[in-house]
Amino acid sequence: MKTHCPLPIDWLDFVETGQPDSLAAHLDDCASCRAYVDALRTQARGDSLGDWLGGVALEDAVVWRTRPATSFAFGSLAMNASDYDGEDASYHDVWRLPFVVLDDGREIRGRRWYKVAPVDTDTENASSTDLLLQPEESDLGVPMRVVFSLQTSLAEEQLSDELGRLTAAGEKTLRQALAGELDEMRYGLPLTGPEDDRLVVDRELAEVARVLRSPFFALEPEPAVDYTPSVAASQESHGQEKARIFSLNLDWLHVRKGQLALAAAQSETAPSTLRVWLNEEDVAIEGQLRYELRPRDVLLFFIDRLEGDASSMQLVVHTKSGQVKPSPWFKPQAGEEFPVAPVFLPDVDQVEVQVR
Amino acid sequence: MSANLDQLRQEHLEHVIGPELKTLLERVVRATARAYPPAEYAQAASWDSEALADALQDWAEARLLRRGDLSKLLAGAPSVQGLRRGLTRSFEQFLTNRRRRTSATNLYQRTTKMLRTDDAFAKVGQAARSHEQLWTLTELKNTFDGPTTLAVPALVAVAFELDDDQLEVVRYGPQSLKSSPILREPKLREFLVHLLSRAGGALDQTTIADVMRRRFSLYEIEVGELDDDVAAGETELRPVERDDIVKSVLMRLGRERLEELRRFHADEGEPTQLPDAVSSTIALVAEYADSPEAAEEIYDRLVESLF
Repeated sequence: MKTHCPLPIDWLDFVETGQPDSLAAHLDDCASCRAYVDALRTQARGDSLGDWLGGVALEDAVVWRTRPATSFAFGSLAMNASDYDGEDASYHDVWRLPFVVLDDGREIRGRRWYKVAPVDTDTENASSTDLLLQPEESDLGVPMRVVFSLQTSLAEEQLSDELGRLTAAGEKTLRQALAGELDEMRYGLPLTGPEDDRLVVDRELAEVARVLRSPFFALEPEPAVDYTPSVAASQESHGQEKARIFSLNLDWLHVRKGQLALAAAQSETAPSTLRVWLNEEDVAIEGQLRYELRPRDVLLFFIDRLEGDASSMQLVVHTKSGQVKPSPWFKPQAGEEFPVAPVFLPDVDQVEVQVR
Repeated sequence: MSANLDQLRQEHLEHVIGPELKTLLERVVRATARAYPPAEYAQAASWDSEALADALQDWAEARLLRRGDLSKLLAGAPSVQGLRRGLTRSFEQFLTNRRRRTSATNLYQRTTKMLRTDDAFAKVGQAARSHEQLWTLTELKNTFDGPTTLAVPALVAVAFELDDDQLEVVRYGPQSLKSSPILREPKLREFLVHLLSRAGGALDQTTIADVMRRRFSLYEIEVGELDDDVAAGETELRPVERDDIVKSVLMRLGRERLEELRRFHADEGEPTQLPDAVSSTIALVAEYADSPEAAEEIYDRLVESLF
């Protein structure tokens, strides 16, 4: 929560050594850090933690041994390089995150690009769009979450070290996840609202991911705008500024078929869910399209995560019979659910998201 | 400490935790713990050496070593200062999650106690370990003599048939106080009766806990860890002196938010919008307050300290 204050350990250094001098100036106008320094001066002086390490089983520790790598494939676990210099973009000294590689790479303008998603070991922070991997599903041997909401494309040069790879079981699970064939037990728990602590945790990951994807976004133009006359007419009638329209890419839209069938059989109220991620340069939205079977037969959009500049958005349902059902424009807010349209689920052909 | 990042990485590869890393971890814990009331986060009256060493050992084992977080932070940090920041965040999260396990544990313990003491529930068979014991409704005891065939996702769907409003759920969040029970006694009973009546068979406590975790977004615990002797009572969060809470919130808010809070309360005009600092402060205060009155008093004391 503290953003521009020195770390507690910096204050411990200061209390014990008086260095660095620069911290003294901060103390003058920061009641928060003064409270820290007071506590450390009165309480930390006599600390003696003894032989705590003697009781720790170091031989059971998981130790990552990274190795340089130049090529990657589906299921590779790799870390990004901390520096990148290209004609398209450059960055230096960024955090190195572990990623799982989601494809075998593809050539774009003479360079090789991989689809990747960050992985992390803090499975307690997994939200409903994070795939949970079991220890036996990678050669790291620890539980992990795959943060699909931050998936992006990285150039080969942006990946530096290989960390390991998924086992055959892990590869199978990942393929099933990408095909939308896994049930919700393989994912984390839904966010409880905009104050959910997990949003703060992932914000740090998202900041790094935003830097890393700058070469890819510099490479490719904005996605083609796919207007349909009826939607354009709808915009004109509202007299509002032009919106960006994203047709939901079916690769990124995971239908939990099993759960839909189950919901129909077991429950009249349990929602069916489609996972949705929108990652653009200045806005990232992660949410779930839910279909409430009864009593309303309505499509709902729940926003798990929102970053960047999106003052207003609208979802438009295109039915197989050619009907266009736009939702009202609404201000997206993480943790809130918005009705999209009353529709019979098998009739849904496509859903578009418009953001401005 | 004078080791650079490469030296720390090498030390980790050779010794896992050598002398330089040991000192660094100790200093992170000694410095960071002081912002967290020991009664809540260490089950101790103060952050004395023993409480610090316990927290450090638990953190190192559970996070840094068993799941490789020390490796991850050393490999990922761009500098020693970045590593210090990453370790600090890791320890803060460890403390916070350790405390939340207590709330989840309380609900599971209450569930166990209810299954054993309420006549509406009956055992099916006899299990060697309590978390493997099958349970059903007494009125269905002659109908079900084995476990359900429904998988957990189907049971979760059953659990969602009663919505939050019906169950009067109090979720963990900025408005829920420390004493918030998630489910009060009559609603917990209603939930269990509903789940067991629609499960199509008996459920063991591990499965019930798994369904409850997904239904109510609870922190994961190993049900097998729970003490069999539920009569021993729930794990209590110890009361904290209000001055300690004020100090803790003050330390955790940081300069920018404190300044925003001070400006908000110094301004006598009608506020048009509640600043983030106010909601952040309320959220932190609510974590420790037992009642709305206590929360208000703590908040007022904090604001007074800013002028």
